[in-house]
Amino acid sequence: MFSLQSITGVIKSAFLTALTLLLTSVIFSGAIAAEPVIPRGKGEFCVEPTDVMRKDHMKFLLHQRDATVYDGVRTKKHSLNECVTCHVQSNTQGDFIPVNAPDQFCESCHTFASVKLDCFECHATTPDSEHSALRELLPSKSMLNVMAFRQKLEGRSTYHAVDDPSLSEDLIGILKE
Amino acid sequence: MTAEINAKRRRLIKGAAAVAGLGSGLQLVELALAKSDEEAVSALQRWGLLIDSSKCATNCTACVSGCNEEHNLEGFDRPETDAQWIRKLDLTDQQTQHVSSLPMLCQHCENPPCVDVCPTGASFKRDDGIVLVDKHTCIGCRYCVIACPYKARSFVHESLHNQKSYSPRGKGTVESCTLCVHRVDKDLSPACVEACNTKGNGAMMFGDLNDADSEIAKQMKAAPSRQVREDLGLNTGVRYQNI
Amino acid sequence: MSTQFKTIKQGQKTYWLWVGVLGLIALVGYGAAHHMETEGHWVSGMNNQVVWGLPHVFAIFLILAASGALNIASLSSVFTKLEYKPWARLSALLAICLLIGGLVILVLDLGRPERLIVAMTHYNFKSIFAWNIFLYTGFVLVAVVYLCTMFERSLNKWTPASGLFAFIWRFVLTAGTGSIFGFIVARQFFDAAIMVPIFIVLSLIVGKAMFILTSLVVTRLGGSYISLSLLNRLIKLLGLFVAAELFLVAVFHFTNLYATEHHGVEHFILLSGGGYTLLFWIGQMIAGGFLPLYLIFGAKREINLARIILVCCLVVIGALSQLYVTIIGGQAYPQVLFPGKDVSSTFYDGVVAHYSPALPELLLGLGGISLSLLLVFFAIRILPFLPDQRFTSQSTS
Repeated sequence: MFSLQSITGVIKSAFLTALTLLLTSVIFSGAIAAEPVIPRGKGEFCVEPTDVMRKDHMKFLLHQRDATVYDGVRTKKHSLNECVTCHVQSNTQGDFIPVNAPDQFCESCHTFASVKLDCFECHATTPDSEHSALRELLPSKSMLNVMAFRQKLEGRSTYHAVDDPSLSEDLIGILKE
Repeated sequence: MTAEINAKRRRLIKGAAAVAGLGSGLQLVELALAKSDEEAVSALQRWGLLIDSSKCATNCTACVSGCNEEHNLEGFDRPETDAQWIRKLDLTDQQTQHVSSLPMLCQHCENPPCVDVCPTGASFKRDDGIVLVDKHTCIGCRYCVIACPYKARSFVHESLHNQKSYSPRGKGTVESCTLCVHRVDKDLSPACVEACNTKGNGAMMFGDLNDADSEIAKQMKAAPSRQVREDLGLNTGVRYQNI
Repeated sequence: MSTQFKTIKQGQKTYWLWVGVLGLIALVGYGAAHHMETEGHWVSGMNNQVVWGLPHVFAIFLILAASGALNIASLSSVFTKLEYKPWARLSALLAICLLIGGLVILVLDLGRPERLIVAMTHYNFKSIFAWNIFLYTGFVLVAVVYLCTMFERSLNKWTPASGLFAFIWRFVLTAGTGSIFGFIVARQFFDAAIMVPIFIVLSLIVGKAMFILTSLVVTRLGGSYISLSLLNRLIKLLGLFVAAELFLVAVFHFTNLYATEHHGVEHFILLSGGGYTLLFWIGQMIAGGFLPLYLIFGAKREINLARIILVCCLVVIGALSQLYVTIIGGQAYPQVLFPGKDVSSTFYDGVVAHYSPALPELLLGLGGISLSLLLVFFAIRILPFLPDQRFTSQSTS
């Protein structure tokens, strides 16, 4: 009924627990973590000023998390996936290095600040290569919107797309041509 | 409010497009009707599935593979603890020996028992009828697994890696079919339906049950369909024909 | 007449031996939980078919025993049976400690135990678990207040009122525990409101048994004693509840046997369930039911101490068997999605689910029990819980 594996597992765990308690007390008694290495993200600026992000990134993420999970809001600005896409590093072979690897963007700073990073128990630590490829193959949504509205304009001449608040500015620009 | 206006506008556009007589433009219109990224989902839609068991072949598992690939549900060769969001059921009538086959998955109930029993509210129903687990507030008590009449939920029994960016999942939380909410929000159909239609036998149909003009609503009105365990009065979003 | 109370004698080797052994088991239990959490639950015997296993059997046992253990205090302050008054403090203490032990097991078995704070800050008030979070923590609070009124002379006048409140609270609490299973429509063996009285009566049985066993140990350490005549009264009361439980369980099964839709699950539990059937008949029915009844009511004169201890051990075994059959047997029997059809799948539809408890689960369960007793041992050393018979007239016992 009880496998040898589970017996050794329990013993190991009890031992590790004791060891962890011991080590924690040693660490808290003096050792200081190394300064974090923070690789630059791609592009010129982050979605918010750096000092704001440093202090409040978790607030943005929390807000976005609930908006996405409960309301299906999928804006990119404060999305965790976009953080990962922008801040992920590649190794010499061109493969992504997980953002929660010890010397990477997320983890190095969290280690320095001794804040446990829980996001990546569930969330992907690298961008989906095939997913992003798929995105590029598809025609952009706004182009399709333009085409649909053009069709619609032909049918109903009184429609004023410019008054429509849901249309983004670039779309209005194209429609005005 | 905006959701309501937007949904009305989408129907209007759809009507206009139909009037304009777009032949090949059907898919194009569908995409054009996608909700914007900023827009919240609304109760004006109710997403659901219609599954025709008579078209579902006993040995076909296209929907299952489609789901497993989409969400990277790679197993650990431990069938008792590995997650299954969708599975194929083979039914044999005890009296008549009639054999039928169908996929079983989260039924996206209007009154889901999993949502009732969840102590933290992590099990919830989105306004558009999709039943989900907010894994940020799931404590892993598994009461929802006990309460689901469809055996649709799995508990993650080990640490996971290589999750898809659009499908986060992790150890110690409960999960189940999301009706591919990440695809639905882009106006695509769930991976199982797509797999069934491309690699399988076209037994699954996805759509808005609240839209009387949708293909799924028309089909449901035209021919009889049933809910599994309709005695529980849960008003499932997944309906079956010809079991 | 007023009872004097005392802490246990200092500097006893046996006390520290008990503390050492219990502490070690509790620590090993914690190690087991830690192992299950870091590795993931696949190292336990639990799986996607049987998601609640041995830890839940132990946890619910302790929670039931907690609410039942309080009844010795209720007998004195609610039913004014003054002979139980010297034991009211120990009764309330044991109730608190058993409940804490049960809750610790439940929390440590969660998939994400570190999110306890989430369970404390996010509530879905339709969930029986959410009610239970309030009922369980509230119970500890109510019992602490009750204890305070007993300890502090100036608050003594509030003892009957707080005792009555605690008595009502414990009934609601056990009703809440029974509802965890009674309100589940999805499973053939649950979904029966009679689960509520079944759990309440079971709590009265195991609460008394745990109280008798614990009090025998701690009085020996503390140099006081619990009289055989009092134990006789308690065990006869326990016997009545055993009879009541047998009646309720019979009603439950006969109701199921009358309805064709439940014949499958009844056949499984009563006849074809292998280990579950064995546990039902040998554990629940004979060890937990008929044998205790015979030992209690078959006795011609006073029941001796050995027999009392035997009865207590038997009903504990019976209760654990009953909870195992109910919780795990209820999950092992396949869910019926399509009545009248044979079902097969890769996900164990239509077949009895496999479950064999793994060592970490057992250790976690035993660890919880040890923690409960450890807390009792600490408390009786710090505060005067035990009656000091040197100052108490013999007529009270």
